[in-house]
Amino acid sequence: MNAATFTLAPDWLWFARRLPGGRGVTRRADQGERLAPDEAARLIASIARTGDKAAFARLFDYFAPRLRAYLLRLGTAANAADELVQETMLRVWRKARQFEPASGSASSWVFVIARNLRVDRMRRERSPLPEAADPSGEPDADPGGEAALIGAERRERLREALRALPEEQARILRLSYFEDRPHAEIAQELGVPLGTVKSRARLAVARLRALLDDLA
Amino acid sequence: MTILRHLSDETLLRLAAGTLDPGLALVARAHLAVCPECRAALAAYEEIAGACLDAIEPEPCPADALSRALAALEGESAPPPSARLAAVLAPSVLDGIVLPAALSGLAIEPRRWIAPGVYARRVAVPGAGAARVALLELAPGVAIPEHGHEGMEMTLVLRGAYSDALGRCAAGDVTEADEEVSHGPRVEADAACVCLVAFDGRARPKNLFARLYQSVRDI
Repeated sequence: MNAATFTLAPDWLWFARRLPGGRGVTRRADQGERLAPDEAARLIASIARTGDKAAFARLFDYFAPRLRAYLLRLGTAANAADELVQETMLRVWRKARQFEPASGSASSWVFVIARNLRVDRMRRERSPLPEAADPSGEPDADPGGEAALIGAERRERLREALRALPEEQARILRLSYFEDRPHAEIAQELGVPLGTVKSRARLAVARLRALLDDLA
Repeated sequence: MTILRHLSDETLLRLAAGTLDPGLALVARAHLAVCPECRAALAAYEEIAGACLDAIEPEPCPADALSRALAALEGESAPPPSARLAAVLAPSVLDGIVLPAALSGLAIEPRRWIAPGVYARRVAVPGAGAARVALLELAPGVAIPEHGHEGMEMTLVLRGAYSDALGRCAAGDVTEADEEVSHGPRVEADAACVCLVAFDGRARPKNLFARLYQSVRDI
């Protein structure tokens, strides 16, 4: 497989680039290192086969700081974020045999685990009632994923097309959906009118939809 | 079941990213359970979320994070065999209404009269943000006066069908109505219609129906 499903091409960096006026964070050499293409999937397979703790440590070094960043951007308190990162990575270990490379990338698999744990946690915190459903504490068994396989080739085409989105649209997608920031706040941060944010968001979503229809 | 009306891409993106209101997410999940097309789109958007995770600027974890995780795994020589829990839930039935699996384990309040031919049962959504969720039962032929929306209203038809200016909505169809949508749904004459509805935002009573509508939201 030649698909670079995991490393980021240089032109991907806009996605991670700090916004103008954003806090400058220097990346520490020992944090958030990169992985070679498909390496995450191989590491997970190695955990599944032999309980490879070195593989787990590599995955942890890659994913834990990224999961922490995702959780903090959504407003999760630092200590809760740290606990969720721990829970997510333990679940990556325990569920390693359930990972199927054919059905999606390792990154999206890990992301969905963290996402579901966060949603469950918010439910428990806000709900006055004891949680009756789901006594196992298991996140939703990915109700969206079971029948919706996305092959490696489609996956790579999806990422390619995403890279081809104009930066201004992609940034708004990321801020609006991934980081859950209100349009008004994005407008202020980017220094553009609210209407521009809304129209760029609409354009970006329409592009994604056209892309999905192409891939279907 | 031929599904003609699907979730919007905005909703699917938020669901994929984990940023959709819990009440809206409940209705969206109930639709996904019966809609392969939306499941495929969601999988693609989860892939995009995975790409966002790859690209995010990492935030350093506490120095002992990895050693804590490894300590927790102490004694676990290998992951347990994938005894995948077969999440086969017998469909629960409430007064003859087959409930979506997304509702399993949630408290559903008793049926309340709202208006002639209109009944509602509130669904208690744990951790609900702004959105309220209810099961609406509409008698055959009931016509709801034309009304607008404030915030988002997501409606999944569980049984029966209704029509409005946008077309016909039958079992499995989901619609999202926001500020820009105004409609007056009419239930088909031959059967009652049962819907799972999430209301996000407050009603602004303008007329008789709006007050009725408010009482549905406020149940």
